[in-house]
Amino acid sequence: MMENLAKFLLPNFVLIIFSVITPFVGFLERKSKLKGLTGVWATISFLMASPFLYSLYQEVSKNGEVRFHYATFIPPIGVEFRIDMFSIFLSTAFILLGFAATLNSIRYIEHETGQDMYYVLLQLMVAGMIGVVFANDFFNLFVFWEVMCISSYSLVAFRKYRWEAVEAAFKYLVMSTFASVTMLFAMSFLYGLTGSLNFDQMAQILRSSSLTTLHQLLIGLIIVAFGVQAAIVPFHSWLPDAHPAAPSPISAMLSGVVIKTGVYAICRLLFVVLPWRVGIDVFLGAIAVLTMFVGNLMALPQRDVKRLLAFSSIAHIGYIMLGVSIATLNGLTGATLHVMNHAIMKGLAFLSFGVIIHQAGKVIGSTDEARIVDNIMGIGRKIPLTALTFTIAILALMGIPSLNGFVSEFIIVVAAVKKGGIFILFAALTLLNIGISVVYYLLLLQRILLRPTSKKLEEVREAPLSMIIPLVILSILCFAIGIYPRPFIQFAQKAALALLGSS
Amino acid sequence: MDVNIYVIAAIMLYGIGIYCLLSKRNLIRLLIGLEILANAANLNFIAFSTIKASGLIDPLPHVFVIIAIVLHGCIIAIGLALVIMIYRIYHTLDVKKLKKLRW
Repeated sequence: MMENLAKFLLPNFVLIIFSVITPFVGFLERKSKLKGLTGVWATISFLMASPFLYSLYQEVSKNGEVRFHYATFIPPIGVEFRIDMFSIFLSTAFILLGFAATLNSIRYIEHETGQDMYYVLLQLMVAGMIGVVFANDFFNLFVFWEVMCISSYSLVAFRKYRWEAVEAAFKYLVMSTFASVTMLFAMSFLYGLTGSLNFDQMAQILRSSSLTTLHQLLIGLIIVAFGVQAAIVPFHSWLPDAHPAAPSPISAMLSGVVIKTGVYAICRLLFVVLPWRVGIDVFLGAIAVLTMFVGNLMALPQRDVKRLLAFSSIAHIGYIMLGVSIATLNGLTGATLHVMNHAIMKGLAFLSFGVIIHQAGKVIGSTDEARIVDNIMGIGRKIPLTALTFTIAILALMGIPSLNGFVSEFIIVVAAVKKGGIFILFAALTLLNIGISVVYYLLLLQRILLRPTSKKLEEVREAPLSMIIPLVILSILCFAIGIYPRPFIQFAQKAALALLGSS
Repeated sequence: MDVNIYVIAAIMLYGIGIYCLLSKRNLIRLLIGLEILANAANLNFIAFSTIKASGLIDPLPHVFVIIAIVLHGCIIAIGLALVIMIYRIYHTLDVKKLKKLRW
């Protein structure tokens, strides 16, 4: 039964079906006065999507790939989904973090209006991301990309009465729409060159032609287009505004997984569709190092903790892009694993800090003030459990051995050294960057945990259980990947092989 | 029919759109700039759909363009909604005056 159903229902369709019903559940919640019913429903939808993903995983590990198209529209004329290990790996991260963020939101947004719309948008955002990583042609890629983007603009502006939220959302909308239109423009030229939108056919036709100036221009356009969503450095300026302005569970989703879809699309197009990789690796590596420096140096003077975490996301995108630019199996394994690890640890950091400002905001009176580190000094003594998970997240982001961030950063640096040439310099600069990041992470921890608690924070209490559970799950995963990384590395290796093998 | 004319027109439209995004200060004009950019890409798609084989038009780009127009309509709708919220808070549509966010 399950296997038959899984042939027709991809996890993103499951989420879309659930999201259509969500407003009715919200209606029921208002009628029946059962608080939090919509949030529970949305959490269930992520739980329901995971067995579908698991049966896809089994099929993919048996056959190497799964192809899916609508009944009579046979590709290349129709559109197609193609699921390989790389897609499965990323969708696992999406659904995991989606589940954690939804469970955390139930209490976090309980006083806001329009809660059912919040959950609809959250479900559609995850469905869009899964669609992006499953797509095998530009049509599906573009449609699901826009589904994801439209939901994230609306979610950034969810607290629409705050100046920060609307302004950041407008900035995000203009920059990201410019990117997606540029992507459409590049796609139209690729369509003109090959006469097809299907990735496989495109790759076949492009392989027989040599690299011309037009091709180089198109590669540039594609890197710009997806680089905006991935927040690669010249195009990063929307991220430190948009991510802190969103509600904390949404910040966790945006920083944890949404920016990774840009990296995914760059990988997919550079490794699968476009057959030439000459000269691009050094260029991408240089951009990656620049991204790390900007992220880390800008994070140093921040007093606003959410803004600091957003800048540290830019730095981590730099580490991932370095792994991608190395383009060997080890480099890609490290990059893929770091996508998952960063999703877990940055998700944990944002969710934990969301709990902290939610609890502190009740006492101080505004969550905006609770975001500034000077106002919450020593709050760790009052809420030990949340402070513990926050510490785990920060230590993992720092790259402490026995936590997950160390494993993937280590693999990336070693792969860069093995590649030789200028990449040895890049590896050294990466280590320098990790050193810089330790400074601001430790200062943050010192202020939140070790300073004496100020008088006005005496009343702060520990958060309710439904907010703590996702934090505990993610912390356990941090330790699990850090202490026993072998199965996760193998999973990431299979994902990287799927990407390299098809070119 | 010569496709080149349409492609050149599309590239020019793209340039106009980028100029509009860089130089205009009104929020609504920024959104119009995004629409011009989207139309450049759509025009390019339609132009290229005729060159696959003579006398034949590939239907897939047409479907694509229709969907893309709808999606951009959605984005512009959200953008205009944000503009309304911004106007309620700031009482201005000038993008230079929205400088509360640090860069």
